[in-house]
Amino acid sequence: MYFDPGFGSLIIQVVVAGLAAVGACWAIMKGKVKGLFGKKNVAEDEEATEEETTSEEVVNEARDVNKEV
Amino acid sequence: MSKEYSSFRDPSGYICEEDGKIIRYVGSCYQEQFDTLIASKLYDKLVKKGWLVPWNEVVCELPEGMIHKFEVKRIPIISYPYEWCFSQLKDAALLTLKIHKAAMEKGMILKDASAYNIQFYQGRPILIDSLSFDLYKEGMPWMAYGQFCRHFLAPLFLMVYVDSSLNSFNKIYIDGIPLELARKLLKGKGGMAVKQHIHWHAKATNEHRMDGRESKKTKEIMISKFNHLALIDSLIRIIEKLKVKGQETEWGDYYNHTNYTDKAADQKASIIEDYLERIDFKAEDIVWDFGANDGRYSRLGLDVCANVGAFDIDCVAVEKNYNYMKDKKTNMLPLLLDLTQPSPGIGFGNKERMSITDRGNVKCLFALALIHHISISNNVPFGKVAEWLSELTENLIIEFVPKTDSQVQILLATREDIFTGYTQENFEKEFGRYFKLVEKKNIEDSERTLYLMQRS
Repeated sequence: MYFDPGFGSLIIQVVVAGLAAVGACWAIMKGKVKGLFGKKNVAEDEEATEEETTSEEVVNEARDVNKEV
Repeated sequence: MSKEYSSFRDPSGYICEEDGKIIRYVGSCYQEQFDTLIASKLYDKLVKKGWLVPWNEVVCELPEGMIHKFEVKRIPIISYPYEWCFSQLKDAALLTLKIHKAAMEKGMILKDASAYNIQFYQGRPILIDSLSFDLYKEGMPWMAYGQFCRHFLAPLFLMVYVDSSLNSFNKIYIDGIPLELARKLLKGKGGMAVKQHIHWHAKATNEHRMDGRESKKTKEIMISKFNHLALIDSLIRIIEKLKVKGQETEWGDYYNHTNYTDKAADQKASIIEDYLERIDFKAEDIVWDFGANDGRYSRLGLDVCANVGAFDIDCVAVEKNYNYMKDKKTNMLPLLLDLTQPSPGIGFGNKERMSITDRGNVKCLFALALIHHISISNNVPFGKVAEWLSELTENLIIEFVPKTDSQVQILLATREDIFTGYTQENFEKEFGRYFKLVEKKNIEDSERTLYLMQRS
């Protein structure tokens, strides 16, 4: 590395990547469940997950990850 | 050999110019990364997609410590992030993320995310720094995440949620807009995406400023590949959704509010075409159009040479021009430029990023319906305009707009007319000190005159 990545940037990256991963898992699960019932509109669900990852529960979970780091 | 001044940060290699060719040297410390880039076919994939600037190996004796020498494709018109409209910055950001994702599929990453590593070629963004790739190891976070947020996310959010002109902050902050400043300006706007990548990020940066240095914990931070890719996908989705809303600017609807009749507009275009035919263009020559608006007349330059820079002060006009041209695969590049304070040289020694004057010396420059805005709205005497333009271009196509023109009358309506020297006679005299007047033609159905001038 020829520049300082910033320790704070790396810490927050753990948090936001965690949130993004929760959103991605949620989208995958939701897609599978809808697939079982023959619904095909997976793309819209993926878009919707952006908002869903913002729930208080997920944010708190991510903050816990931050504390562990 | 003249080494590119800005090529000093990364010890992996450097760029220089030799015999008019752009040359990149690759250092021995970059051997493993370079071999992986080639062996994994990542280079081939990115070049094929038009995402990475291609190169050809030059076989010759190499300087000490260097392992490869390449001739790199020249980008005809160099531009910087503070000259890009919203969509250009957005497309550059998305390209950076997509290249990083494509690299991860091949066991590599983008080790930096500087907006200055992106240029525009044939209407589309392209990565010019072929030494930006590093090896990916499982669990490795994206070291360039902070840089990406400063160089791309912060200005994009500011343009969307505060004001579309705020990418000009990049002129002041060469390493991207400080997140704390972005946080203060955004004032909580922008929802969860801004909260995560700007607010929390700024807070974490402030709170942990010294932690990395004291405890060397940086290497202990791990992110799984799944989470890493989820972050990149999430950033792509956030940026794809960004739109600048309801832009109403002075020039955005310019051509519906000019005093040209259709006949005058057509004749103006045919005079320009006639003047262009008299200039001895080579295919690689460059035309610049100052005050290009949506690029209507700039496009005439594409008939005589390959490269046209269409500059305008108005972000809506540049946005319209960019979006219209980007799928046409031409080298017409719309850019933002305020002619009363053109892009300066910035960075170390004022030389890392070139001023607009340093990027000049083009074959032909258009200054259409412009002189009254510079000389009356901004009080710049004809002589100073002529002197500066003569530093930039060999040939000049310039339109003189007299005081009696209705557009000039509008400019004078709210101020005292102190411009006694603003006459056609004086215009010819002052420009004649720097240019030879080759031809002048009146535009029918108007009071305006189009000149073809050649630098003397």
